[in-house]
Amino acid sequence: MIRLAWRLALGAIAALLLALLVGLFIYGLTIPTKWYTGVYGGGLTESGPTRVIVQPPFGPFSRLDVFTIEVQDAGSHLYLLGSDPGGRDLLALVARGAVPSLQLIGFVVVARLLIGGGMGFAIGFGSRLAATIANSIGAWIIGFPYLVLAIVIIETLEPHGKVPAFVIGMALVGWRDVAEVVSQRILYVRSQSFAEASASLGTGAFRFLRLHVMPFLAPLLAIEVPFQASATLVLLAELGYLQVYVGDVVQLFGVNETQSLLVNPELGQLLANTRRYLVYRQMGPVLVPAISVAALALTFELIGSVLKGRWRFAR
Amino acid sequence: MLWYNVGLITLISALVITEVTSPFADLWPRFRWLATLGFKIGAVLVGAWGLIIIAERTTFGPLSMLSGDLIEGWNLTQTILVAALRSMVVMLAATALGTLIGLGTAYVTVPSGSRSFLGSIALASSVVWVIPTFLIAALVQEFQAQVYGASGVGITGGYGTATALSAAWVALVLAIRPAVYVFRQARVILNDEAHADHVRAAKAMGLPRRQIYRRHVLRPATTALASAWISSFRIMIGSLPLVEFFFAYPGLGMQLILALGITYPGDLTGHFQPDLAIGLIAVMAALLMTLEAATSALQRKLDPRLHDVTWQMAS
Repeated sequence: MIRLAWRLALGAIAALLLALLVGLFIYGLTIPTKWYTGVYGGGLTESGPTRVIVQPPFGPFSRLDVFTIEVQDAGSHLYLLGSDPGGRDLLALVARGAVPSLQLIGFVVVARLLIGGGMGFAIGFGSRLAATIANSIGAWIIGFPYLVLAIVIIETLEPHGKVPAFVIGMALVGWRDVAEVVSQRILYVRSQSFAEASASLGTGAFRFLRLHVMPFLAPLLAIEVPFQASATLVLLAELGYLQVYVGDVVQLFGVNETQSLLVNPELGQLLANTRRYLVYRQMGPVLVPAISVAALALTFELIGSVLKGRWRFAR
Repeated sequence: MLWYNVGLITLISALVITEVTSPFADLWPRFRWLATLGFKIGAVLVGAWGLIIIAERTTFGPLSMLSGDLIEGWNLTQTILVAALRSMVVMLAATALGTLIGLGTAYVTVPSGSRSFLGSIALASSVVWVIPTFLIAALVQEFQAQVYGASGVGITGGYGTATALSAAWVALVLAIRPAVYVFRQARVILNDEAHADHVRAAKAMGLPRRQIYRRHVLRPATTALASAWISSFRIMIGSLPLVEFFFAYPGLGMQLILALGITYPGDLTGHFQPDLAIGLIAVMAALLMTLEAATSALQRKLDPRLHDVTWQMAS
């Protein structure tokens, strides 16, 4: 009973978080293009009887009459979550960034399932040699620090296309968990008496897989997907922080220094300037994308936990 | 070609050990770990060499070796050894801290038996788990800045230098995710063990609670906990480059990031140095694999069943 109540509470938290994020992202997507592509010099706001000029980054919940670098009026805008140092709306940037990021994560999770599933089947069904080869590749991969392996593979494959490079680089880092789940479940099913009976009756490999393995494996894979998505999202953010990201960059050349502004960024890329923002104590442009990543990852984790409780036999 | 040759020599040595000792039933179980370690490190060296060389040719043009451009005018070996020493201090502290926090929390909370209390801590651990490491580091840095702002006392230990204080901060941030991982795994392991028949028998005999958990729950779970611990170490070594890079702590991780040519505009400038990068990867892999081998040996020592199985398989 307590277990069920706990699962319901977890599910409610996940649903609330998801609804909040979806709501925010939908609102962010409706913000006109100019508020996340233009570069603004400052904004005018009411401060008692007078109007004062505020320079970007603007704080959260600030409604401003914004002007461009050439001091041309750009209109009034409410910055719900604040802006980056270019005066661009952070909510709009995060909402726009979430779309390519989630697409990328989808590709990576599918690639991990394919590679991990293939290896898992090789270990679970294959000969001893196949299992040895699959285990050796896994042991070899695990010898590398995961971030470094991802960076090296992405840098190597980048000339052939950024998105495929990221998909392969990030998939090669995390497939081992999927392979372990698949192989362990297959070995478990094969050791059961019904499976031995089925094999002795001459059931073909494909039919055996469909009838006896998949009903046990499918829930496990369904549980693994949100956990993999969560891990991939965090990895994407960490790569972004280390200057490894998918999108392009525009350099703004100032008198004393050069600023990098991101063009059509994904979530990881939004974190690429973290170090610089921290030096100037600009926490908004760091916290908004980072907390968005963490909230999305937490939602995936909670969904995985709820599914895990739902399919108790799959644990 | 240096690391390629070292890798090949390591692989050949492992092969020789296998060929010489495997025919003898009493020798092979003693040398098997050494041969396995040799194969793994050799494979990582050759693999890292291959990947870095391909990355160099595709990204940086043909053979832009910068082997002379190492830190503080030291040669390759000195650079790697000093960086390894600095990182080992940090990893030692982080491992101790992570294990103490993770295992300690699980050991204290599991006997309480309260599902809602355990569930709340598990939810809190999920929240910490999904926070990207650099965000934790950013919050720690903000805390340092607040302390400095309030008291005028610098508690960072210096930027870009290896001091006891800077190492302590790096270790603290590095320990958080492994601590959460150890807690999550230990909670499940200890919970399973606490419901075993022998524990119920011990409870029925009226033994003191502390004695039951120390002797009948913790002790049999040690082998499984050791597996969880080595996985947490793998997570830690994976995020070492990111944390060291964040705090500019000149250990293995930061040197590796810079040696891969990653540059942070206006702050940290990396030069692509293939020899150094491969050497640093090899040291990290060697550390990880040696610890894995030591953990396996410890598990065999702790669990006589594993010891017997290993000897049977080997002979």
